[in-house]
Amino acid sequence: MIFRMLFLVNVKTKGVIKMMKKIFILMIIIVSFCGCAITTNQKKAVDKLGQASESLGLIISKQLPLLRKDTIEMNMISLELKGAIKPDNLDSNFDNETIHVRVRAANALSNYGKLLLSLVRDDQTNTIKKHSEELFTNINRFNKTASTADFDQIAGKYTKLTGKPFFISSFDTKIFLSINESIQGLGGIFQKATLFYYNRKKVKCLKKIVYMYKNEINKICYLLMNDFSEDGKGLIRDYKNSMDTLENSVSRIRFIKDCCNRKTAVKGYYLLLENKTKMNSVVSNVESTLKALIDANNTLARFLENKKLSDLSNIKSLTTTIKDLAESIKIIAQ
Amino acid sequence: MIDQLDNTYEQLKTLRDNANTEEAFEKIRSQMDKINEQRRVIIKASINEATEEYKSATLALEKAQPVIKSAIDDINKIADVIEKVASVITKIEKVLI
Repeated sequence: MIFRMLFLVNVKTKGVIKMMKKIFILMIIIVSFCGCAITTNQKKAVDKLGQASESLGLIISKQLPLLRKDTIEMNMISLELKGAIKPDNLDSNFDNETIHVRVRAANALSNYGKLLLSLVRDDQTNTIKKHSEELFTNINRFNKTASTADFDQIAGKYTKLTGKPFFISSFDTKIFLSINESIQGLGGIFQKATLFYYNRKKVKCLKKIVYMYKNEINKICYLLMNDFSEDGKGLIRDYKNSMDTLENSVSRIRFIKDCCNRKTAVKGYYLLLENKTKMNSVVSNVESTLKALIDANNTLARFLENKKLSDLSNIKSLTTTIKDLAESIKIIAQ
Repeated sequence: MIDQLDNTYEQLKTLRDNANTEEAFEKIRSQMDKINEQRRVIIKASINEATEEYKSATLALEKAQPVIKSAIDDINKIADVIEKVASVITKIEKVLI
């Protein structure tokens, strides 16, 4: 009797252990697949912001050299028509150094987008590292080459928009070392197999990047917003001045008798029309899109900190805003 | 000052296109070029708005605007504008020294 009872208890215990083992394995699987520290909504938000930042950076870095080319072309025609242009300053304020600073800034925006995308799209650690290094290089170079006037413009634009003073902090290169360490810590394929730990590390890394680069991304956006603002003191104001000089030179067509000069004036008139359309459709859109990007990036930083934050409308609408801008550029380029 | 200069420039543009002689047209055109260049410099420079020169220039700009407006309605008054704008340009030059 006793032996029979002991036998039954033994069988039951083995069954319980077997069942517990199964539950434990199932729990590990569930935790590995579902227990990632990033929610689907967060992933979508990061993906959208990443796409937007990458596209906007690319658009601006392509547009700036074109604006320089337009300025030189406009000034050359003004000069031919004896307009008020100095022959040794055909690019006005669109000099190479100013454009390089802005292109670096725009490239950094694009790198930031790529880095966010590679983190949420499960790229290899090496790819994530590469994007992180590119972002650091461009932000570091931007901070080193931007002039005092550039930083004054950033502060001016910020104050104009928010009513608050802007204290420019210098770029701390330790940020990069810290982020780079976190990326290295993600590990390779083996670590990916333990999905739960991998995702947890990745989210920590993502939060660090968004939080630590927030000020730098804002700095870049405010500088570019000032450049693309019609009432600002940046590059577009200079572009507009070149347009005014050309318009004033072309207006002489009423009294120009020489055939060659008339031809040049007509050419100038068409260039003016083309550039006016470009300015009205593309340039003003860039400013509002940059503003939308700043807002969305700030929302993302808050959202990653606090999962309860549910209003992501500004991140969602950002993709549409960028699409509209890209569409305008396509139409103008045709 | 930039806003005032922008307004003045736009007014002069209308007046320039209304000018009925080449001489008046060229004078206005040349003044517009000067104002455009001054705008370019003012934007880049950090100007002290508290100086007497600055106050005098902004006042001259303010007074020039109704004169230009009246010449747009009556082109015979264009000579008054040329004189007024020349004085504005000189006053702005003093601000920029």
